[in-house]
Amino acid sequence: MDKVLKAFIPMTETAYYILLSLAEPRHGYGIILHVTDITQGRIKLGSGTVYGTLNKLQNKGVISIYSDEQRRTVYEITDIGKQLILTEIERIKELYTNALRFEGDFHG
Amino acid sequence: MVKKVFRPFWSLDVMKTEKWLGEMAYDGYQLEKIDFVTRAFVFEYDERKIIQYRICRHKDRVSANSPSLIKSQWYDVFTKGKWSILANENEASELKIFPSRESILKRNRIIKYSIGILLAYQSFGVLLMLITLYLAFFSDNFSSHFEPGSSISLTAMFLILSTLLYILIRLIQSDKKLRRESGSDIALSKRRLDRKTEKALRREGKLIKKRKLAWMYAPDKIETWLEAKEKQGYNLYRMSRSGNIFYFMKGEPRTIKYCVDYQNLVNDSYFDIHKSSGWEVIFTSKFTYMKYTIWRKEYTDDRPQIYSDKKHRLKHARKQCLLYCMFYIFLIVTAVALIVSTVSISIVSPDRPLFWPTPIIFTLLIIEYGYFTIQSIGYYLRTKKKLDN
Repeated sequence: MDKVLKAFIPMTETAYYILLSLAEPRHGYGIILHVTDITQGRIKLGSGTVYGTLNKLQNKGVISIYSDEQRRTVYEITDIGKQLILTEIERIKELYTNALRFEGDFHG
Repeated sequence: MVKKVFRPFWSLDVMKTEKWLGEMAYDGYQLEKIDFVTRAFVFEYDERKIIQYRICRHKDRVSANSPSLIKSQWYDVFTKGKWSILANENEASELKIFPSRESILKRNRIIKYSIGILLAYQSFGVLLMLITLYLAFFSDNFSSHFEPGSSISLTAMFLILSTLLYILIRLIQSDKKLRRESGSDIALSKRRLDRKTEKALRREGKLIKKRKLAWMYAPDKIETWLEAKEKQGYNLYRMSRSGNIFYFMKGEPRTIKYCVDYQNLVNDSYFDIHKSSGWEVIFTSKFTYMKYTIWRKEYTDDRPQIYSDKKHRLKHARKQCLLYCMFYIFLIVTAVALIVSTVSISIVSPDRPLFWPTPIIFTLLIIEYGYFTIQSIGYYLRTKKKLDN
């Protein structure tokens, strides 16, 4: 687990949003659509980027795969992956509270 | 009651083994374990059951612990090493999700390529041996004297080679079956016209053939070239299997993004994810290793990219550049060493005059390899510059 945390934290924006979109199992293209949706079109992930990141996450045991009825690959977060995203969310929360706390100092 | 069944090659065709396990369960024999040393399946006699089996492989039991698979009532019957046998007692028609075939395909791929390389290497040796035997047979002083033990070693070699060939053929068949099951179509879409129509179009000047060699060393240049051709109304219609010939059809100008993608290794989901994102594959190299694929997508305003992440794009270029640099610089050094040694031998011993074609051929090779190296480095530098701006 420590190894995984060390390898991924802090996460890149791409990896973070890919993992965040796996709150429920999704196809590769489903991930792309969901990320575009929750970032209001700011991030349009390229399929090559997603493919590469998913392979890396899978090799490290962060996500696992299964096949659906049409035998297409579905990606799913593992327990290790859940710990990873929760740790990262904690880190981002800290960034966010500090952003709010000190934001005002720069407006003057 | 325990029943043991010897099945030495069960892993070569997992779908057949799965089906057989299901039939055994239907007859009341439920899988207990597999003895890997004796290659025997051990069954326990119990009540008749309808069970779906799936043979899986995984690194650290990740897929067996997959929450979705467990929720669909897949359970672990037997696990040893990387192998595990999953089972499900629901009706086949009720099953919505299945363990992935990817790791089985991956294992088969590694074995297939290893055997392939070994056989290619061995067949060269066997060919030499046959030629020697043939020559010996027709020479005047042929004597049918074999060293003792040579026939045994020959038989052993023959047996090993034929077993390897058998494994290879079985795996190729099994992979085809697995791919058919998943419907993953790696082959290019069949939009090729028949030979006759093509010929007629070529005569009319509507179909244009262009030859380009060694384009993979500078993939960005070929992308730009193809995009410019499309803008002029020359639509890329197909490529030759080797990838050296491009066939264009005279048509309407199109705005298309072309993308040459290099991967050390691809699995089936590679094609699925790109195709579902609207990319069309126009060319893909033959082997699953060191694979080149050319993707394209028509667009109006936003120029699409396969790699949205700048870092990814640079990493990709670096990976490819390093690979070719290492490979060709090694070959260049070898060629230089060979030239130096042949020339120096002829200088040291005047009775052995220099055979001129040798250094000339190797110099030509050095120029060619040097060109590839420079092209690869150029590609990396151009990518870096583009991303820095």
